[in-house]
Amino acid sequence: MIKRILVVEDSDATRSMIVAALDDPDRREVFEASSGFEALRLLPRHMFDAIVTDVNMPDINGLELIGFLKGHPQYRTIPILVVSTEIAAADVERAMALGSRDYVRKPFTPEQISSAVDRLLETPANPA
Amino acid sequence: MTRDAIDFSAEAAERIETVRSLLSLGRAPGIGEVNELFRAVHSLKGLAGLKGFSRFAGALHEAEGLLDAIRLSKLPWTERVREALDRFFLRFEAAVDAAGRSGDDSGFPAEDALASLAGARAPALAAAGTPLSSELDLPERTLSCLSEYEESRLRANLAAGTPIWTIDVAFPLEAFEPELKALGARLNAEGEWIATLPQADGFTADRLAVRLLVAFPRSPEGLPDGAGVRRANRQPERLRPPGEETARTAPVRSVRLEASRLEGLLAVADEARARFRKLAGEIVRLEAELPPARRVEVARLRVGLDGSLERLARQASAIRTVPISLLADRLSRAARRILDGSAKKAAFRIVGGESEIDRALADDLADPLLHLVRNAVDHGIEPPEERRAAGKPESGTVTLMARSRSSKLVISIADDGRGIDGAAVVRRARELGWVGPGESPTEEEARAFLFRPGFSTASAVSEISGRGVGLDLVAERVAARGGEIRLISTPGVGTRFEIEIATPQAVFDALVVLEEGKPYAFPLAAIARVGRETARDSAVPLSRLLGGAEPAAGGQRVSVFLPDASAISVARVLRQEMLVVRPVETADPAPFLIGASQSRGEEAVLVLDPKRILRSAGGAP
Repeated sequence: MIKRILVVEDSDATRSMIVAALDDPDRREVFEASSGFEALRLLPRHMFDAIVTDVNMPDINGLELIGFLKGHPQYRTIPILVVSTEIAAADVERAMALGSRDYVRKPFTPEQISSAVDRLLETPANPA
Repeated sequence: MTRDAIDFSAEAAERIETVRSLLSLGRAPGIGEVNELFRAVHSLKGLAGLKGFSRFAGALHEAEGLLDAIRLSKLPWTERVREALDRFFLRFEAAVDAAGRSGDDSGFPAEDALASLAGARAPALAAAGTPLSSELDLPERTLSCLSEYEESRLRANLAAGTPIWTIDVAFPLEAFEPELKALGARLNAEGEWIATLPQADGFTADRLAVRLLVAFPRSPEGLPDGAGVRRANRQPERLRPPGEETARTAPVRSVRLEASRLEGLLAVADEARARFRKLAGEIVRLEAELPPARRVEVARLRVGLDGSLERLARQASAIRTVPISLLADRLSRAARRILDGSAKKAAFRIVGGESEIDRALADDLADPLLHLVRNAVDHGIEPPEERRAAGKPESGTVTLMARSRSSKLVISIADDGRGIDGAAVVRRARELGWVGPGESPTEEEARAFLFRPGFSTASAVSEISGRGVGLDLVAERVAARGGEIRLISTPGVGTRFEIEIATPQAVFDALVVLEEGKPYAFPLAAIARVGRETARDSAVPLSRLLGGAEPAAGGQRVSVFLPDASAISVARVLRQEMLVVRPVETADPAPFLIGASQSRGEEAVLVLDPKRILRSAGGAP
């Protein structure tokens, strides 16, 4: 079955790299959001099987997005992979504490992103 | 003018001098010196009361309170405390001077000086480590969604005593972004828009509710219809934290550190991080075999340790640099000291003070910069009457601007003074025999004279604003660090000296790619996006740009796009990485070579400027 994955990342360069890493039309359909707000706009329109999100974004950042997802009955079980493109490791810990399933930090290779997403999809949903 | 006022002014001067000198020790004062400060302020307060200056006495009481807290180890001595006291006494001194002439103290206290005193006392309220929930009445759910930065902004505003508010507001999804940005801009005009928390309750496909966290001096007004505002501070009137704060008593001390030990620490920290990264790969594979609950737990431990090692490496590396603002503080104090003794007025402004600079470089640049600041104040800025006559504001401005560009640091000292008189420079050069009778040097040549040794040895310097004084030495010091100094001056408008220097190392995000089996990197800031190469990209292979063979046919290559849509193709994209880049020390490095980065135990990565390398191959097909 084709899995729908939402990639939320404000840096075009990084987002294009993640999307390229996940590019596998037989297995995945990848959606892109360049901000937390854009992600919120896409959420009601598609049922996503996994979300890959950056932490540090303007206006609505990754942590605020994750907090929203975990507080919403319909979205709380979507597994989340955090991609840290920033210095502060503390924010990655916060994202994990909020219920993200895993993280990938720079330097990351395309294979790391791709296999982390695969792991996300094969693990059963969080009990939360 | 009263006898009392004159007496007070004279007697206060000496004590103010004591205070100012204790505040410019260049280190944290010892307990004896803190006591001396306290006593000087205490007796100033008594003196002010005696002579009937009740406003002075009241304001000094605040300063005394701050020093008392430090004396009793209730508050650590910090740069912030020093700055607040420094600012306060600068204002106080001016007010005492004015009172000596007018006989009253009605112009005092200066609100901003008092506010910074209060701010310096406040950090004890919300020191890092105090849970925010004890300061802010917000649900744990809300607080746990804040990033480290947002949390630090909340703490900073708490420390400054600015009230924190929550604003609950909903917008139609279609108009959400412009509406939110417009509201944010209004809030930022007077306060600080800190966080935006989307609310899950009542979320629909066409409407989104958010909770904003905002620091604002009063209850924000003019909000969209239906917005709910609430003060989030728990005890806005509380001035002091309960007991446990007294444990943090020791004054902040600085230590001198041998460079070799620091390098050793950095090496170990890097090594620990690199080793853990390898181990983490193994752990991830093992995690896959664990039952889900254990797997999440192990992943959390892994993240925690990874984060600690990352921070260790960063903290160690941060020891090597200082923010420019520290250097700028020294310069601004020097400027003030010069101004104190003159009739001139000038403000010292810092732009880009947050740029980090290598410690050793900061030491080397301190003197040359000090010299430029002194010159700007002494000779560039005109006396108030001359400025008025020229239609300029009475008070001049000296600006220090710092910015870093990949591996270069540019620092400039600019003034809005009278500029340099080119004709006078040429006249002086003729006297020195540097210019023959028939010759007329270009503007550029004339400027170069200023940096020549011997230019400033005679009295003629005053005629040309004294700009020659010691500039040869400044240029020499800058050149010794491999830097360049430039001079831009417009008569009547001002003068700017610009120092450009290669930093010993620069740290930036880079895209690491593979070509011909070797890794190369591009600064991420220079890259727009990457994608699988298609014929439409007309990407130039990196191997060709490097003067090597054409890439072998077959295999999917990757295009790396620049913002102007030109592209370079590479065999593979390896990773994004924060690189520590050092200049390459060869006689004639290629202009597109920014530097090289070497991680422990790995092959050196050459860092390339993608725009320049494409341009250098401009003629190629």
